[in-house]
Amino acid sequence: MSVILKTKDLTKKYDDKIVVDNLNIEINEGEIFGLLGPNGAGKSTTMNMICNLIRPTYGSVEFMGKSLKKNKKELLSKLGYIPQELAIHESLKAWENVELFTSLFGIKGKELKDRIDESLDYVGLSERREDYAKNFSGGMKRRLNIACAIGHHPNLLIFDEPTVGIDPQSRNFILEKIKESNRNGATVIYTSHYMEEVEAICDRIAIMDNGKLIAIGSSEELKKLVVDDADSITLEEVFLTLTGKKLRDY
Amino acid sequence: MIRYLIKNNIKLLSRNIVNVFLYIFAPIAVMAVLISAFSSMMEKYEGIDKFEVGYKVESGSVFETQIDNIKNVLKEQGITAVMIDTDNPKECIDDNGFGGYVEFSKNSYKLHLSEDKEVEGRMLEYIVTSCVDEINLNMKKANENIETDKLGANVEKTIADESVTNKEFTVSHQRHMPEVSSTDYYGIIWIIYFSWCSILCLTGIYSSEKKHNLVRKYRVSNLNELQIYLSKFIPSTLVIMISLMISTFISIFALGVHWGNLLLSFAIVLSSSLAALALGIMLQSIFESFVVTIILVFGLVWVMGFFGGTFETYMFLNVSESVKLLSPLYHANRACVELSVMGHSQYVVSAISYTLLIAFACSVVAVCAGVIRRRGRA
Repeated sequence: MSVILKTKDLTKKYDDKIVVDNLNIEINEGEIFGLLGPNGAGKSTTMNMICNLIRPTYGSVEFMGKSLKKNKKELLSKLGYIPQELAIHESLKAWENVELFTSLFGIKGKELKDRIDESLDYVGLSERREDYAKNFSGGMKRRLNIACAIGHHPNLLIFDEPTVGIDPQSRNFILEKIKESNRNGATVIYTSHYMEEVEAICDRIAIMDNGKLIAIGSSEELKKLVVDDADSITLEEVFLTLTGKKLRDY
Repeated sequence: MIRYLIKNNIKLLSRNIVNVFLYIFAPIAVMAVLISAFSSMMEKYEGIDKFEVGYKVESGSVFETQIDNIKNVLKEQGITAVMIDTDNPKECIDDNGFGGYVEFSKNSYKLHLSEDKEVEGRMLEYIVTSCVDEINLNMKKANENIETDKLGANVEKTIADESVTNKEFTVSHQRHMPEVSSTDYYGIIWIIYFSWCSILCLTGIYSSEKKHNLVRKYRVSNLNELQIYLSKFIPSTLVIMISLMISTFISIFALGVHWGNLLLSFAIVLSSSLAALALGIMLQSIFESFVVTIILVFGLVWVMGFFGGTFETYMFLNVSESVKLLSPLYHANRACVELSVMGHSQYVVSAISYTLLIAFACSVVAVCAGVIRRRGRA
């Protein structure tokens, strides 16, 4: 399996506070990679550096074997970012939202129209394409959020807590679609506070705390760090053991 | 790449009912109120032909050498100055039917205006004030050491220097406005004023972008700052122009406003909108707060409008010409009103070039501010 994303000594400092501390991770092409950590662990900052939204203080990000900093234009078009907050225009119709965000990657004309249909169909919103996003339920908005990020057929999808605040049916639908995207060849980075989701879909999981990587491996490997019998412990218990039960009031 | 972003921003702008109200109906409503409120004052002005004013000049006054120039300027405006030495200017005004009376003392002048002939009085005040401004300016040129803050300070210094006191100065010709009705005046300048409020149309877009952190998503797609700027500038210009065009046509057919050269006038309105939008987007780029942007824009536009003749007609505004010229609204108002009344104006070029310069400068700063902010983050 080849490495699609690699961080090398990735560090972010704000004044004296180190938010991400010498992070070295490698994500293999075609896997679903989970990123866990308590509040303030540095997950969002790491995602932002991978998406080139903030500059690392030290270190680098390599994507598809190339430096992200030096090949931004080429590499960012292969990346799909689904943020935690709903990044859609509520005053636009569903298809207009997908058109807007897909076109930003240079797709136009008939190809754009086809991608719009494909993306809306993929998330199950074809029949609601002419409806304004403001009239959608929370789950539908989340699905539209995904549709807006996949239209340009990215190689790497980054999901930042995509199932926050939605019903179990919508959540199950989204998780199934993530697995389907992965089967279709996309690599996925997935962050969430819902341990059962992460355990259900991720091939490997990294746990961060205080900006550092404290454990990485499959769900089973992480459980075996704590106990011998992996079936006797949940991922949540592993997480709490490794990061502690102290509240993170950031 | 940003073609579809522009297209969808146009949809967002035109679907916002507030924009429709603000740029189509609000100017008409304001115009109708002001036309009605000022129609009687402007009608009096339309009827003004020639009138007389009284004056006296104190011996040794700095105005002694300039009084003929001042009288000539008044004559060109249809005002005859009659020298009458009196200690009771009010009685003199009433007895002779004067529009006003001017007392030129050693270092200053005093205006006595007729209570009955309000418009004549204001004309006299405007012309005499303008003449004194010109005298100040010429004195400054003659003697570089003179400070120009107040006439009194200038005059004291020039009295000490006889070579300056006795020098003849010319006062440039003060063109006073031909008759303009309140309908035409307020019908035109409020379209211009609303064009300077163009940034308001972007409220919905900025609000949505902030709420959903959309600019972050644009940056992940590698849009540069110029593209992000143009994606707002172009759609808002189009929507504003169409709205103000509709408003203009309503003003013509419903209120009877005469625009004169409609094409040139609309070029001035367009360039004003471009300047206003660039200014607003620049401030938003710097402060990243739409509330701060709105406060600053409206504050600036109010001040420019005040000195530019938006609230009180510019021909009666008791402010020096050099201050008025600083306001782009003065150039735009004067150009469009003169186009309406006279069919031509020497302010058209300055109105368009001044606003285009503002638009260009603010656009550059807006893009640079975005680049600097982005570099700080990424």
